[in-house]
Amino acid sequence: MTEWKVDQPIFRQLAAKISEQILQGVWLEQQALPSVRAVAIDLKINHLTVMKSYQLLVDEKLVEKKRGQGMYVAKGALQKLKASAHQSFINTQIPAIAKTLGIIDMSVEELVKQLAQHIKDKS
Amino acid sequence: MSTLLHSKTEAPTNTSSTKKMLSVKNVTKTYSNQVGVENISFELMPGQVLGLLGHNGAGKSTLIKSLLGGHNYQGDIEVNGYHPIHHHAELMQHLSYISDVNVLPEWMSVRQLLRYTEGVHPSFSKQKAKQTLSNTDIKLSSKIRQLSKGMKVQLHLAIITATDTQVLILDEPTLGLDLLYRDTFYRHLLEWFHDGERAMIIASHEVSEIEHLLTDVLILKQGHCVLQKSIEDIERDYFIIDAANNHSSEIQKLQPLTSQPGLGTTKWLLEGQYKARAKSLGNVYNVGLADLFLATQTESA
Amino acid sequence: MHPSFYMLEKELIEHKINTRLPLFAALCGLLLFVSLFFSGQAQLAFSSQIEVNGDMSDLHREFAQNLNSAIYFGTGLISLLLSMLYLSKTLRKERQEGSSMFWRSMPISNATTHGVKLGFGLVAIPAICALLVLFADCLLWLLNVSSEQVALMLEQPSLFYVLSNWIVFFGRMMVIALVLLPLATVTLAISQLVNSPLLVMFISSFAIKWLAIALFGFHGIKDFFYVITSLPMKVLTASNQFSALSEVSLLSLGIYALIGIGGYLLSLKLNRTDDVSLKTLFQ
Repeated sequence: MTEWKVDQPIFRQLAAKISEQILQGVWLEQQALPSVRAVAIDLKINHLTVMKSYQLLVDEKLVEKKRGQGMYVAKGALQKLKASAHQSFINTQIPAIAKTLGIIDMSVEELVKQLAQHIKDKS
Repeated sequence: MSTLLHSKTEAPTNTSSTKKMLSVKNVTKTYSNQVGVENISFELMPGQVLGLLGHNGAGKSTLIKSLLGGHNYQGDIEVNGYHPIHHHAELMQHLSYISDVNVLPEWMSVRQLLRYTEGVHPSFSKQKAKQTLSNTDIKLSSKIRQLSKGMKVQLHLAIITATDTQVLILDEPTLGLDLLYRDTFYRHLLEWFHDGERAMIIASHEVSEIEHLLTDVLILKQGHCVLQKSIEDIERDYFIIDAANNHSSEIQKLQPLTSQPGLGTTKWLLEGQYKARAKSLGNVYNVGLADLFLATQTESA
Repeated sequence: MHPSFYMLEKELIEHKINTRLPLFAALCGLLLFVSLFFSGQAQLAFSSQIEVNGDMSDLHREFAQNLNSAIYFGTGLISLLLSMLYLSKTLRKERQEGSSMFWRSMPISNATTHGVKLGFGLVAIPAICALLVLFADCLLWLLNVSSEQVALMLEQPSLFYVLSNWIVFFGRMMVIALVLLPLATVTLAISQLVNSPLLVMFISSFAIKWLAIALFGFHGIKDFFYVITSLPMKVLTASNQFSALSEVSLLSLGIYALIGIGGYLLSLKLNRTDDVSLKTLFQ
């Protein structure tokens, strides 16, 4: 069974997981998401939780409810998620990196150099 | 604090239908010299999954047996309008039951059992049961005696998921099952549950295993109900704060239900009303059912 | 098919002795038959000896009647024994092996369960035993047609006789079932309260009987018990099954029937829940 963290309600964790999967391209825009029933059975959680997660995503305009057909990834969801991921990187990751740089006495130039090298090696 | 725990807010969970499937009103069962359960009330609507938690001897089995018509009791029980004892046959068309102890007749073969059930249960589909069993290692010709504990539970579940009953009672269903069996058990169970308008009662002391399946919870201690809430209300009404020990005296003022010391910090279980006041003192977490269960059991009720 | 058919079938699977014991008896009969059949020589000698010795027709009739009543009596006894053993065991067994919660979870009313148990004990078991009579008669009929000499000694001249004898036997067993019904319900009730119901019933009836005599000099209970307990056997052996019944006073029959109704109601009450003890009776 899926392990859930204790610092957040499960429906938020599930919504975050689905968002992340949309970002990673597991669920494509305009395509159907698994039904509430399927998610509830696969994750062994109650269907109300799943419904709440989907509702959260609908409220964030990432997911659309199509009458009689279930849940679909909304058009523009990917763009929206990328934007928010971008923003959250700036808001949370950058300060963390800055803090680490301060602790280990690394210059911004060196970080940029290392980062460029890393990206080059990977590609 | 105990009065707050006792409060019985029976807010039915958001379900499309409001048809009452099961209602228990002020049920009390007294054995010759001790209390089995006292003054228990709850209702189940379609889609609800009620967790019945409590230690051994807390009254879970007594309550379940009363629902099944196995006990005389005081109070009212109705399943789809039927009385467990007086309308037993009608009631059992709507109610089914799986328990940890082996209730299947050992001397029968699987085939004989299916034939019997088909004969006496109007909504049983032998075809469906056979189909479910074909995905397992259970052979139709096997005697039930020869099956392992896990297989017996699988067989019982296969029979129940092949009947169209509305209320299912599970009494410690996965006790003594290995992980693989547990996983397939819950998968089959939930598939069946979502196939129709159904409600379930799961009695267990493996709180973490069933926690996320539940929509409602009822915790028993020595026959008394010590907590009865929907999971949603629990998320709202309780929280856990992990705070550095220098805040302890301040948190003590908020009437914590329990505390659990850790490395340099202590985890406190608090009531939702104090969330705003306590937030700044440490990290706030969701309350797990296991924490709450422990709190209700250690508290001197 | 009605649910009670499947319930009867379940009883048959559960209590195998009710088929095995008659089968065993049939097997013994078959062995006897085979040995008789293949030692035709011996029979010839046997029958010619009778011929020499005396008035043959009378002797033959007597032998044939003895043989018939032996089959009747033996089978009837087996049936009675199996019935009582079954009735004293069936409800208790479910509870002891823990399957009662499973049967309880089936949509069957308590009255249906009782009907099936009584039906199995008092109708199905005699029906199985009646097959034994049919079987024995068939064997004797085979003997009859296969050998001229033996034919004279047997009463099974035609298949019609064999079939009618079978039906007559079953009819007689049904009269016994009626006579046993009150005793059966009492047995079902007591079997839910104590572990060895037959023994308890035997001892307590004995005690009540003698206490009544010793304390009050009242012989009525003793007479009543005697009449009731000897009734099944009388029905089995009487030349006319109803004559045995007509010999019993209406008062005795009335009391007996009332006891039976009481036993049935008590058994229903006890089996309704699992709260079985002498104490819960008075709740």
